[in-house]
Amino acid sequence: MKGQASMDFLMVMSLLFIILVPTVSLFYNYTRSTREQAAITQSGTLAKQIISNAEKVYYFGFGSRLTLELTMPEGVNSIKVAPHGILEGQKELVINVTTGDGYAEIVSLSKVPLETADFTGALQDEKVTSGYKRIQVEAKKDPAGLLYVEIRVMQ
Amino acid sequence: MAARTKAQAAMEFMVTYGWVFIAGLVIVASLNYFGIMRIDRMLPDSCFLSNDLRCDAFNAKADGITFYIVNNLGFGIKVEDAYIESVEGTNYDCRSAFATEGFPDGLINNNQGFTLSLPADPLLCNLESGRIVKGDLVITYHIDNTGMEGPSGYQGTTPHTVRGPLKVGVA
Repeated sequence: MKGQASMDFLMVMSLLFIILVPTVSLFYNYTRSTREQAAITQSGTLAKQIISNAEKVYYFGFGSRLTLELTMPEGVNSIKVAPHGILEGQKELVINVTTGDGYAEIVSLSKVPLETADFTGALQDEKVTSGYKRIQVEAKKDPAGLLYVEIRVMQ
Repeated sequence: MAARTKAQAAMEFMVTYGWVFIAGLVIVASLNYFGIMRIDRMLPDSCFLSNDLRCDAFNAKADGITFYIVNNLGFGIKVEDAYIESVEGTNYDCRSAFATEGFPDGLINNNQGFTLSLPADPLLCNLESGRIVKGDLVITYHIDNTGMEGPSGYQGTTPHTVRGPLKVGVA
């Protein structure tokens, strides 16, 4: 009887193992792809919210400021403004998201010039992590007196 | 004695048919592993780039892969490059001369759909019938808003990459 019980156990376990391994692998790949799609979609929404509010503060005028409370999705590597170097030309907000085999860029076009707080064109990497974030957009003037919108991650 | 006979019968049943079942599963797993039978064929074909640059339709034939992509990014783009990266089961990218049919210069306005074709290349992009092409569809573009609404005339210089998972069976 004891022998049969062990044999039954072994067989059930092997069966489970044989069924589970390919199934887990199949579903792992499937959910990974779904997770990436969700991150890309969320990043697109995030970029549009930042741009929309940046345009608002720009047209409200110098000194206007808005603080956005947003959730940064998983997989976001960096947030940059491009092309960087000439303030008036900086109208692209680029969110770089990691995908399975590389990265994808989510791009939003702004009607107004954008800049980061440290003038490097990139938001501080250590603050660009997943989860709740407060992002501040503020209308400022450069030394030449031209209006631009500064984007800053508060936390 | 009766209980013992019952146990023996059950055991014999398990050993006979259980091993047959396991052998069946092992055969299926091996066929899948060696590529003779692919379980991932059971998953539906899929193509995803982003919600704003939608891959609406796609098909793969022996002469190439065609995608119908809609630009809902909110601005015009100029497609600079398109290919399939990290094709599963190969060491190379499926990279061939791409074409944006109907838009020879690659300039696609906002809210406009376009057909992107990647012709088969016998060396790099072998599309034999029945094969499953699995990898990432990669498109590189820069913003070109010439004559469009919004920041009219804006032409970006920075190339951007959009990438999404692709799985398609060759007809």
